[in-house]
Amino acid sequence: MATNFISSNSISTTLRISASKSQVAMSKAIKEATTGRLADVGEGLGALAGRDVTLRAELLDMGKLVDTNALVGARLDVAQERISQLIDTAQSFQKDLLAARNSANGGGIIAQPAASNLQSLLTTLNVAMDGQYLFGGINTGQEPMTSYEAGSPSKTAIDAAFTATFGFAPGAVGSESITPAAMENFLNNAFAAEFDDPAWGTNWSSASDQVMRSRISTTQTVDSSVSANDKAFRKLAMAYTMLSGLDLQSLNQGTFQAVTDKALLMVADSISDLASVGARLGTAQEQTTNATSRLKVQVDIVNRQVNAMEIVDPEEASVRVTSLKNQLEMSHALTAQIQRLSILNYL
Amino acid sequence: MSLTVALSSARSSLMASGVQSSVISRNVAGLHQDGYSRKNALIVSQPGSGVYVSGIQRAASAGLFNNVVKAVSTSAQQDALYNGLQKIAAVTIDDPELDQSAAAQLAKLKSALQQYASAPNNVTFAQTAVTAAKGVATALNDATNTVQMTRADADAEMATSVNNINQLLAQFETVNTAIIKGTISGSDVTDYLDTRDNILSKLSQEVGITFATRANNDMVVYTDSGVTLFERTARSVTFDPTHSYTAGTTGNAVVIDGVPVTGANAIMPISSGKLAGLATLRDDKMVTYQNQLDEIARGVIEVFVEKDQTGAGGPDQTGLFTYAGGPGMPTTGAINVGLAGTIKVTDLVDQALGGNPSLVRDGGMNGASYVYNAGGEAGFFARIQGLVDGMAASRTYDPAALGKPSGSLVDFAGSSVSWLESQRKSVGDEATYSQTLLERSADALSNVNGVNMDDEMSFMLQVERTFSASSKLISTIDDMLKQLLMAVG
Amino acid sequence: MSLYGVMRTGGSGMNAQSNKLATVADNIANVNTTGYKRASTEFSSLILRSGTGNYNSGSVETQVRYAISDPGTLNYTTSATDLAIQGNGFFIVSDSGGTPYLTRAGSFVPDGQGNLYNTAGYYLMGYNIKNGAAPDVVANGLGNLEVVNIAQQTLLGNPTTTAKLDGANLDSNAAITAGPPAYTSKTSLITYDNIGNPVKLDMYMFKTAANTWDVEIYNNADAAAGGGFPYGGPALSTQTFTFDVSATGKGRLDAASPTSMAFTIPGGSPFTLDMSNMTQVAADFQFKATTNGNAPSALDRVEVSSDGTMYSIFDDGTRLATYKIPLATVPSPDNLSPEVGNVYSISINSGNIQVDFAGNSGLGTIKPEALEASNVDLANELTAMIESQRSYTANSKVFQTGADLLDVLVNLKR
Repeated sequence: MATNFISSNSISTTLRISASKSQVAMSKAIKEATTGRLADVGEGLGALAGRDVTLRAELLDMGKLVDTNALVGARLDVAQERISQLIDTAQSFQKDLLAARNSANGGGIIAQPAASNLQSLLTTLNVAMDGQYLFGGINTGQEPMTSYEAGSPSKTAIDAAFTATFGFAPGAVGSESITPAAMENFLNNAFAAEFDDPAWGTNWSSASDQVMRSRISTTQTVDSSVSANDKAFRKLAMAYTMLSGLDLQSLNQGTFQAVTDKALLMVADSISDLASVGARLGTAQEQTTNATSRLKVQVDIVNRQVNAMEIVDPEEASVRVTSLKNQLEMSHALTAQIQRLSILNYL
Repeated sequence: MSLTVALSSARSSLMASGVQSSVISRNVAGLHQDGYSRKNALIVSQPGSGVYVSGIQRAASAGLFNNVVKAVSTSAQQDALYNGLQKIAAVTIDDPELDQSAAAQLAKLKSALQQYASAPNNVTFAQTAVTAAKGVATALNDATNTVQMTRADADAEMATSVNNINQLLAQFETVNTAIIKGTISGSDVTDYLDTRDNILSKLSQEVGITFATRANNDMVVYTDSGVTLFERTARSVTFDPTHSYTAGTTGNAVVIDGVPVTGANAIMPISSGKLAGLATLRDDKMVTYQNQLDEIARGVIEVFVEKDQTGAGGPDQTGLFTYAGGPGMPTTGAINVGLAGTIKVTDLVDQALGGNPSLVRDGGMNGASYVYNAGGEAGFFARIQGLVDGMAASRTYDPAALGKPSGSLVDFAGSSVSWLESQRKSVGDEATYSQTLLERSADALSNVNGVNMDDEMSFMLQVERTFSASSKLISTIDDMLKQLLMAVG
Repeated sequence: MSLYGVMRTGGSGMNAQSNKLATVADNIANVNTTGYKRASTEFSSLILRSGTGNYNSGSVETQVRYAISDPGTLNYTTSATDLAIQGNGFFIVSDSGGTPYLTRAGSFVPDGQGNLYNTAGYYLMGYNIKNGAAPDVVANGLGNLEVVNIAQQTLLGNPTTTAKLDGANLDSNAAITAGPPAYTSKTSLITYDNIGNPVKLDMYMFKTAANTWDVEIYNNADAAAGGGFPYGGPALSTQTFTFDVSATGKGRLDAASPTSMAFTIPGGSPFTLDMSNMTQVAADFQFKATTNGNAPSALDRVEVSSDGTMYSIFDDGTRLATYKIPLATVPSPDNLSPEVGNVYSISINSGNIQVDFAGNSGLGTIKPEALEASNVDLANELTAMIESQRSYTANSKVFQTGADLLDVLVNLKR
C-alpha cells in the first residue's frame, strides 16, 4: 500500500519544493556568474572567513606601505638630489679656494662665493616637502637652519667668540696682527665650538639629531631623512662661515692661508662626509625601491590567495545557471502536465 | 429472503453509501490540507440485514509521524539559530570585500597609522587615523548593539514561543479530552486525532517533544529532555522576558513544570525546537561573540595605552581609545564584559569637539607626565610607529573567548570572524540537511496518510454504482409490492 | 344434521379466516413497530366422528401463534440508548407499578428523572454497579434489579490509588548529584484526592551513586514560587532503588531493590506507585505512567457496551460503569403472552424466567445505537391476506350453498 500509493499533496509538494529549490540555487548561481565571487562569501568560506579577512587586512597594509614608500622614496630622492648639489657646489668651491689661496686679496675674492654658498647651504637644508622640512631630523615642523646674517644668533656668537679671543671684532684694527698660529688655535677651538653642540643647536639649527625612520615593509625600517646636524653639514657650514664671516681681507697673507688651509681641509672632509650621507640615502632609496617591488609581488600573491578563496569560475557559474534554467523549465512543464493529469477530466 | 429484509438491506446499503460519500468529500476537502489524514469508512456486513458502518478509520503511521515531529523540531531549532547568526554576520561582517568587520576596521586603523607614521607632521593624516580609530570604535559599538539586540529579539521570540506553547497545550487538553471521550464511546474521533497531531507538530516547532499514547488514546507529552509537558493536564511553562539586554545581562530560563530547561543552569536542557535554538543563540553563541568583541576592545585599548614618561611610575592610562571606566585601564588578561559596547575614541583628539588629533603622535592625553613627544617635534614618529608595532605584535587573549589564544589584534579579530562564519556555515548546512529530512519524512507520511484525488474519484464512482444499484433494488421491490397491492385491490 | 353442519362449518371457516385477517391487519399495522413480533394463525381441524355413510362436517379451530423468537432486522440509529439484541434474550422492563415484563423493543429514552423507558412506557431494569459492586444476579428471579437511571445524582470523583509505569528509564550515564536542590531528572504526575482535587506530585530522581537512585516525591502545592526546591513540606515518600547491571539484569531493578513506592496522597487515599519495570540503561530519561482516579466532572453521556454494561462518560473523558443490563430468557419464548406495548409476560407455557448477561449461556449480545425492526414481512402478509380473502369467500360460498340447499329443502314442503 505504502509503496504504490502517493498522495496528491505529495505530488504537488514535490513539484513545488523542487521548483523553489532550483530557483534559490539559480539566484545564487546568477549572482556568482555576474559578480564572479561567491554569493555569500562568509557562509561559503566558513572557518576560512577569518583568513580571508586577515588576508584582506594584509593587502590593505601592504598597499598602504607601497603608498608610504612612494612618499619616503620621494623624500629620499629630494634629499639625495640636494646632497649631490651640495657636493657639486663644494667641489667647485674647493677649486676656487685653491686658486684664491695663493692670489693676493684672495680673502676678498673668496668671501663672496663663500657667503653665497653658505646661504645656499642653509636654503638647501631648509628645503620642505609637503610642509615637512626634510633635514629637520624629526623636528620637521620647523625650518632647521637659521640664517647667518648681521644680528643672527650664529653671527653674533661667532663675532663674540672672535672678540673674546683676539680682543677685537673681525675686520677691526689689529686683525693684521693675528698670527697664523693664533688663528689656527681660534679656528680649532673657539670657532669650532660654535659648530659643535650645544652652540650649533642653539645658534644654527633647530633640527633634531634623531632622523625619521620609516617602515618600508612589514619587517623593515630605514632612516628616511638626514638631519641638518650631520657633521657633513656642520663642516661645510664651518668652512663657508670661516671664509665669509671672519673678514679675511683684513688678515695678513699667512693667517689668511692658515684659514684657507683649514677651510680646504673642512671642505674636503665635508665632501667625503656628504658622499657618505649620499651613500646612506642611496642605500635607503634602494631598500625602499626593493621593498616596494617585493611588496607589489606580495600583494599579487595575497590577491591571488584572496581570489582563490572568494572567486568562482564565472564560466562554471553560468553553465550552472543554464542547467538550472533547463531544470526549472522542465520542472514547470512537468508541473503543468501533471496538474492537468486528473481523473476529473475523464468523469 | 423476504422483501422487507431485501428492502432493509438496500436501505442499509444506501446509508453506508451516504457515509462513504461523506468520507470521500471529507477526503477531497482535506486534499491539500497539511496534517489531514485519509479517512476510510469501515463497512461491515450484518448477516441478514445488509451492511452497516462500524466506524471511520484513519490512515496514519505513528512511526512516520514521529519522524516528522522530530525533523520539525530539529529544523526549527537550526532555523532559529541560523537566522540569528545570519543577522549578526550580515551586520558585523557582511561581505569581506566591504571591510565592515572589526578586523577590517582594525586593518584600516593600522594602515592609517602607518601612513601617519610616514609623515607625523601631517594633520590630515592624523585626522585620517582618528577617523579610522572611530571606525574601529563604531564597529565594536555597533556589533555590540546588534549582538545585544539579537539577544533581546531572541528573548522576545522565546516569550512568544512560550506563549504559543501554553496556548497549544490548552488546545491540546481540550482535544485530548474529546479524543478520550470519543474513543471510549466509539464515536468518530479521526478529525480530532488530526487536530491533535496538528497541535503536536505545531508544538514540536516550538520545543522538541516526545509523546506516548496511553489507554483510550490518552496522550502524554514530554519535552525531548523528559520534562512533563502534558499528562492529564497541561503543565505550566513559564518565562519571564527581559526586555533590554546589555553584555552582562543573563536572560531568564524557561521553566517547564518547575524545571529550568534553558540556559547554563538548566537541569534537563531541551535540545531541539525553536525555543532551544533561541536559547542557544541568546545564552551561548551571542555571549561568546560578545566576549570576542570585548577581547578585541580590550586589546585595542591596551595597544593604545599611555604610560608615564617621567619615570615617576604613574599608573597606565587609556590613550586614543577609552571606555566608560576610563582613564584607568580595563582588567588585563581577562574578558571585560561589555567593553566593546562602551569603547570610544577620546574626545581629546576630536577636532569637532576642540580636540587635537596630533595627540595621537604626541601622547599626553592624561596630562603632562604622559607626553611622549617631549621635544614637541613635528616629525616625532616613534609613538605612532610604536602603536603600529603594537597593533602588529602578538598578544594573548582569554581562551574563554574561543578565539585565537594569541596573535595580533587583526588575527584575533579575524579568528572571531572565522568563529562566527564557521558557526553559520555548519548550522546552515545542518539546517539544510534537516530541512531535507523534514521534507522526506513529511513526504513519506503524506504518502501513507495523504489523499489521492484520483483514488478518491474512482472510489466515488464505485460508491455511486453501489448507490444506483441499491436504489434500483428499492424501486424494484417497491414495484413488486405495488403489484401485490394491485392484486389485493 | 349435516346441512346445518355445513353452515356451521362454513361459519367456523369464516370465523377462522377473519381471525387470520385480524392478525394480518395487526401485522400490517405494526410493520414498522420496533420489537413487534409477528402474530400468525394456525388452524386445527375439528372433525366430527362420522359413520361410513354419512359425514358430519366439523369446524376449524384457530390457534394464534407469535413469532417471538424470530429476530427482526436491525435498523441503525444514532441514539446511544437505542438498544437491540442480537440473538436470543429479552430486556427486562417494568411498568410504573413495578410489574416486570420482557421485551425486545429497545428504544429507550430518559424520562424527567432520568429513568430509561421505552416507547410503550416500560422502564428498563438493570443491576446497579455504580459503587463498583459486582452485580448480584439471581439467576432465576428478578431480585436486586432496579430501574436504570442515567441522570447524574452525584458528582463523584475517584481518588487515585495506583499508578503503573508504562515505561520508565533513568539515564545510566547521568552525573551523580549532590541532592536537593540539585537533581538529575524530574517528572510529575496528576493524581486525585478523596474529593477529586487534582494533586500534582513532583517526582525527583537523584543519582546518588553508580546504579543507585533516590526517588523523592513531593506535593507540588508545597513548591517554592516558580516551582522546584525548596518545598514547604517534607517529601511524601523517599525510596532508594538499585539496579542490576549484570548480563542477566541488563539494567533492570536489582532483586534486592524495592519495586514500588507507597504513601498517602495529601487529602487522598493510600497510593502505590508500581515501579517494577523501571530500568537504568544508556538511554534518555523517560517516565510514562498511568494513574487511576478522576476528578468529579459533569456527565457527558452514557453508552452501553455489547455485554450490557452501561457506562457514564464524564466531561474529562473518564468512564464509569453504572449499570449492568441483564437479558432474560425463557425456555419457550414463543409461548410468552404478549401484552400491550410489545412486552411479554411469562405464561405457564413459556416456562420460568432465566436471567443472565448478554453473551452468556446462549443469550445474544446487546447492540447499542440499533433497533430491532418488526419481523413482519409485508409481502408475506399481503399474500396471507389474499389467501384468507379467498378462503373467506370460499367459506361464505359453502355457507351460502348450505343456506340455499336448506331453502330448497324448506320449499319442498310447499
